[in-house]
Amino acid sequence: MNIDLYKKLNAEGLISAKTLENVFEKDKNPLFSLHWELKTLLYLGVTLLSTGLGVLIYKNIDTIGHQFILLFIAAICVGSFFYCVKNRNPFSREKVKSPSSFYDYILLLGCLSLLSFLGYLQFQYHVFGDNYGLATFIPMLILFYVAYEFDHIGVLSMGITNLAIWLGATITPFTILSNGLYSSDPLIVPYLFLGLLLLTAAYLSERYNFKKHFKFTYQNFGVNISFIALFTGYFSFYEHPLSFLWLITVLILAFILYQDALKNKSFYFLLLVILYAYAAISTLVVRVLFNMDSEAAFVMGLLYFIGSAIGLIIALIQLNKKIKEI
Amino acid sequence: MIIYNKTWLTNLDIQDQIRPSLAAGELTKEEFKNIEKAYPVGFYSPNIFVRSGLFLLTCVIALFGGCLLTYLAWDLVTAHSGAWVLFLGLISYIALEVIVKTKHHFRSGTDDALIWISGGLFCVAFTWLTFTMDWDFRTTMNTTISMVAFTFILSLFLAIRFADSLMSLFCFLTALLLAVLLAIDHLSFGKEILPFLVMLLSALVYYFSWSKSSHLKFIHYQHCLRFLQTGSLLTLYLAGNYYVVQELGNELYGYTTIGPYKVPYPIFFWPWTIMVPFIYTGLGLYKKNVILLRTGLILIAIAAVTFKNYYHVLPIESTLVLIGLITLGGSYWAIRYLKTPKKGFTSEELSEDTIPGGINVESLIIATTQLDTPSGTENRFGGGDFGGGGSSSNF
Repeated sequence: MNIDLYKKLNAEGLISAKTLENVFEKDKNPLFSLHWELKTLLYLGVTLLSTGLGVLIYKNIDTIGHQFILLFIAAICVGSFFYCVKNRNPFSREKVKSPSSFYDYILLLGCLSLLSFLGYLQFQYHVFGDNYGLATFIPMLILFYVAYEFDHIGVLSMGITNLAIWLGATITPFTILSNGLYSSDPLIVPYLFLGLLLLTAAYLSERYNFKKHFKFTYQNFGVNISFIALFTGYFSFYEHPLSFLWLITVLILAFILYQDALKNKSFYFLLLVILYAYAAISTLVVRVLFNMDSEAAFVMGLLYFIGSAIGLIIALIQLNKKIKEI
Repeated sequence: MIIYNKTWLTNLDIQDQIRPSLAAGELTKEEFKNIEKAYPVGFYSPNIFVRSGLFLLTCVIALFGGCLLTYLAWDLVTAHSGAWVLFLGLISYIALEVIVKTKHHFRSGTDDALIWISGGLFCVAFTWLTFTMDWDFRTTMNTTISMVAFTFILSLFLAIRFADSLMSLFCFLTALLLAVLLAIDHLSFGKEILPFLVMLLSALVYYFSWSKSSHLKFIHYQHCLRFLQTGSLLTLYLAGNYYVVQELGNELYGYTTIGPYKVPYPIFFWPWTIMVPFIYTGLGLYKKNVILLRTGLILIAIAAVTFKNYYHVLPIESTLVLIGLITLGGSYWAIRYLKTPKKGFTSEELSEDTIPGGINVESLIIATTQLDTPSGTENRFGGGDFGGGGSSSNF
């Protein structure tokens, strides 16, 4: 801490003597926070432990030892949830402050080991039979329940992923990008449904003031999934005469989300929505120009991109100002 | 030399210095506003989202603008390709200077993009020109060295002119590469001393960037110096890491008459591999230096992986379980122990770490790493996807 700076500011009359005194007091006992280092270590510990256990049962299946491992996992799961139930704060519709960061990660560990445990039961004993829908539906229900009951956004994200698996889709932005774009058509509708469902959940969370802070997570998944599904739809029906309707839907959805982002002053969603909309318009323009198939069209394409990007830069800067002013 | 308005940079530094006090509540909002008025900053430096948007769009403009110009001047381009690239580089550099000077962009995304675009174009142009003009580059080694030397000088210039932290890190790395290439080419014993050469240089750069970090002369380069500290600490360690030495030695020497390359002086390199991360961490705690501490912690993980690569004490899954339990237990103990601050350490956070827009960074991290679920929709619990809904190992 630069004490001279504060003295100078005080001499210039910019900060009061009391503030200066506070700063002096703090400077005598400077604190060094290990918060993020410890949090990272906790996260690392939970991840390593659950990964290790997962591999451990998988490798030891059909040996005598695996039942002990299973018991160990069950013990970890029960222990984690026991700890969380004992230390939790009471349920509320609002955000519940977590008792400690250790608590957060123990809850995560509990959920991860629960998933391993259920997965093992299904694999070895076919508890849910050959009904894979049920085998993913139950963990999903549990995850959503835990997320709401204990107020944990990480578990909520896991629940959303399980919901996607249940619907026959696997989601992370990366897997969608890597194998989603040209994958078979039957997945598009579930994707789209899931995306819109999540957006509805985001809307309802805010509307009925029930765990309002979950809205970001729902919306983050929902926005990306819906838009990617729509684009995938467009490209898989590229030859269809009405394929442009997919992109029109992108623009409509973008407009709705744009209003919402503006209302909530969320620049993250604003940028995301604008970029998706820009991609949709550009796709249409490029297609039209391709159909013309002339040199003039090529130059026009180049000019379009230069012009539109400049326009978008100005728009972004203006929007940023606007959001700050509201 | 620095292009930005120096008074504004100083004012920005003052604001940055007192911001923690505002977050901690020692400073009232009104006082902070007064200070902002008394020490104004006229730069345009928007938040991270606008910055990334501007970065992306600037790249789009540069790409298509370059295409358009090239298309218009196609006959000229085919005759003097190298000079053309140089011309494009000059245009983007001039655009950069104009935007910074007239629009006062500072870390806005636009200037970030243009710094790298113009630098890249200059490097391509240099390579192209020197290849076609056929100067006295008899061996490929000389060509490489001259390229690296040019890149080094260019990045040094850009780093100094724009006080760009990534560019200064890049400059440091090219300097290391240049030293290594020169040693291999011009010293008869160059190959043998490589690890020590890199260590020496890194140590010198670390000492420089650490001791000058609060020096008045370098006040506008604090970001750069912080990046340099991290970078030089990493290279200092990696130069002596057993795996790195082994692999690079293999590259350089290959199979010799006495069999595959073996790391000489394991008595030096093994202790270096294991001990240095702990020394960093220890020193970081002792000196309360965040950079040393975090670099040390990351390197402990690297050291563990290196060790595991050569000595298989336990199978991988038991190692994971064991390390996981130890880490969990250790951090639990540390959090309990530091609940009430001891010796100036605390486990509580001093100010909320959120990026603008109120987004919880932590939840984003969990969402992107924990959720790489098994792909394939059928037979979901079979096969190797045993992690269930998310215990996959990429973190």
